[in-house]
Amino acid sequence: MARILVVNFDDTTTHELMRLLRLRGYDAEAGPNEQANASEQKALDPYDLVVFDASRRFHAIEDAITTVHGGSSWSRKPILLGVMDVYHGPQWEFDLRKKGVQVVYVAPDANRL
Amino acid sequence: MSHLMPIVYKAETLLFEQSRRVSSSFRLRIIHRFQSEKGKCAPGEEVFAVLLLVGGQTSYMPLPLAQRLLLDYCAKHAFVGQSASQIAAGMRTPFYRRHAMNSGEPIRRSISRSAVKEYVRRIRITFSAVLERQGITHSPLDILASEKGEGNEVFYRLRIPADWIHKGENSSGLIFEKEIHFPASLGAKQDS
Repeated sequence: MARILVVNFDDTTTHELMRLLRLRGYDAEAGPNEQANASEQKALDPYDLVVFDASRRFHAIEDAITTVHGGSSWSRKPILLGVMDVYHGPQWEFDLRKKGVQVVYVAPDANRL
Repeated sequence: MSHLMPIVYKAETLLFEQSRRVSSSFRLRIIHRFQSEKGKCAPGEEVFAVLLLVGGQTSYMPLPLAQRLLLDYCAKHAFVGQSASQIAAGMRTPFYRRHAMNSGEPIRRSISRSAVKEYVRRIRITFSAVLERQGITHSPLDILASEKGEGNEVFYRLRIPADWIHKGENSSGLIFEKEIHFPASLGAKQDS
């Protein structure tokens, strides 16, 4: 069963996404989201895929990626799936791509683009 | 339909593509020796060595006997998840009970249900070490996976294909090799 981490969304979206992913049989967990644990640093390498909200300020995932587990020391490289309306092009994305991490974006709703 | 479904579909597609990439680029090669009859995999042979093939590179996996046997069993039943009890039961078949008997010096090891989890953990450590030596960052969990069932049971499943090479001596004393590809569905038949 694939492990998925849901990061950086508001609480409502987090719960809804986790519900949908679990219904499809995935082992979904919530990572740092909203204010409560926004500064928590989460190790990403136990996961197969990390879904994160790329439209919001994403200090949580950014810190986790750049400071705690910088990509090269990961025991596995999860796929990073960013959900966004507007592309921000963060610097860490290019660093991670160079290390072989797959970073993909998807729009939450095509009508909103 | 929830407006979040495109995200779920995208996640599903990415995970599927990733698992397909892994299974197409990795392969196990298992060497059996003391084959008694050319072209036939039968009880009495020894699981001599396990090699991991990644791209064009071949790496020897230094596995002790119990782990070689367990990996051989998982490879014969690749792509089907089995619980520790199922594995322990499956390894009581003649192929593993009469392991290496053709040599005249049986090398046997019985695998209990409670030991399976620990052996799987050790196999993964060996996979990690071999992949690291090759400079590949890849989780051994993607190769030998643990999958949770509805209850507490965990199913172990080898996610990569395998082939077998047989080394033995024929009646003239000549060494021969034969490569056999087992379809996963025929794995169980090899034991009978």
